[in-house]
Amino acid sequence: MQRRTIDPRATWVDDVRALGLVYCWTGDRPYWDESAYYEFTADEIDRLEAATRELQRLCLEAGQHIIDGNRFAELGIPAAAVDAIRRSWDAEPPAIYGRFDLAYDGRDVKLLEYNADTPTALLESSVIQWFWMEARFPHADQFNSLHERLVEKWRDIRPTLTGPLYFAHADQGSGEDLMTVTYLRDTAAEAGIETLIVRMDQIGWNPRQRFVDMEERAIRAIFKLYPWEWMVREAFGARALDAGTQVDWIEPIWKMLWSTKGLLAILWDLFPGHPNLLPAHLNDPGGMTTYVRKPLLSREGANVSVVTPAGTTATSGSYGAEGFVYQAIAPIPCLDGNYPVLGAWVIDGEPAGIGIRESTDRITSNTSRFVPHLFLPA
Amino acid sequence: MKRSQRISLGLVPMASAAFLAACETPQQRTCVDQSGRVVADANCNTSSSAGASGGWTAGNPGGYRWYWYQGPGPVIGARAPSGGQFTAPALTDTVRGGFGETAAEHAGVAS
Repeated sequence: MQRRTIDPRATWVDDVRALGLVYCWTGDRPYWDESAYYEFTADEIDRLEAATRELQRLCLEAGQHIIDGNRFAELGIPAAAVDAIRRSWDAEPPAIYGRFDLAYDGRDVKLLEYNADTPTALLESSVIQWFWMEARFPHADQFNSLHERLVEKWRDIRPTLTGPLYFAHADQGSGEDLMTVTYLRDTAAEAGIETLIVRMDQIGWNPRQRFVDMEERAIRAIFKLYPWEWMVREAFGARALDAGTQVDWIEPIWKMLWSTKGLLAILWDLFPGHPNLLPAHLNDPGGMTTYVRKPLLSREGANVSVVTPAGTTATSGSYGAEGFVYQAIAPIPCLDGNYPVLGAWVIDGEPAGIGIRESTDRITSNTSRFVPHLFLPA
Repeated sequence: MKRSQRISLGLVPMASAAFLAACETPQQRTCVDQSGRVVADANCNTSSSAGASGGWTAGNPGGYRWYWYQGPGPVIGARAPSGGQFTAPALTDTVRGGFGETAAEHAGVAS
């Protein structure tokens, strides 16, 4: 893996905005950063793909272990959600996607965490970096089959739908959530599905029709870019958990098993020494003197502490009351002053590509930059 | 399969343009009929039931109501831009706002 610098396209802002990346700036700094790119060999891509597939396998085993061992409480999963999770896990309703965050130093691939419920950076991974490569390096290749795999998965789901498929997002000023669900709508529409959009706060509860949209139409199937750990604690949470409500939620509620960072400790318990895992423990560092402390349910790097004998650095935020996981520090290389984290995408359980975010420190946050990648065919 | 062969987008470019345009325009109100098409404001102004709350009621046979949105100015006869909102219909017992509160506290979902 090499980090190479390059002049950005003179028209890059217009180019990426036209493709939906309306959130291409973070304050006065580019979020989409094409002043550099990462170059891999085909062999490296094969290894990343194999590691992603292996991690997905491990997570499936971990999910079953959590259910069989009734380990919900220690992972920060509320008791009220347990029955719905069990039902959902057994029924295997449609699940679309997830994103492993990986540390890769050119040799080892290590899991940092799994964003299995509401991963973002999808549009830039699937579309923006693809068109960047076609414009700048048309003869190169890219680990990116996200678009086709999404369309393929929606085609699988289509016969099970009895009405339009809703796409719900939170009201958010940057446009990131809106564009993420709009892109997913595009892939569903390409599969022949009728889609509608609704904001989470617009979803209504009607005692006769159950969940309804703004036009009082019943919602039977909905993709929600909204975390289950938030949903279950909000006013409509109990209704969403009710088996009688008969709404197909995508992602399904069993994704709560994977969206808690306590999963990292479960994985290490089950597969100690696995080459794609880092030592991780619940509640305390387990004897480690150098580690990262992460809240079980935090997002975008909030409330993360990096503890070393030389001192502690920490990010701010409002998470942590739910408990922490303690994970060994990953071997993230520092390239030209940047720490890259690889987001390895899984669509319908299969590896589907990568997107890279880099930061000037070890904690990837909402100020990190997305940098495109390519690889050279063997 | 490691690479895509073809990526086609339909909604994304339109939503992107609308979002960017909306950033530069204030929230505005227009009168729409039941099919979502823009009609003259007079239809809502003369219907006492549409009023400021914009609800559907039996006294509003034309089915006109106010619609709030951000974006380009309304064109009578055209479909109102998506992404706006109506005040909840007055004759239903639907409750809204039961989801979304946590996102408002955290300013977004991204992970």
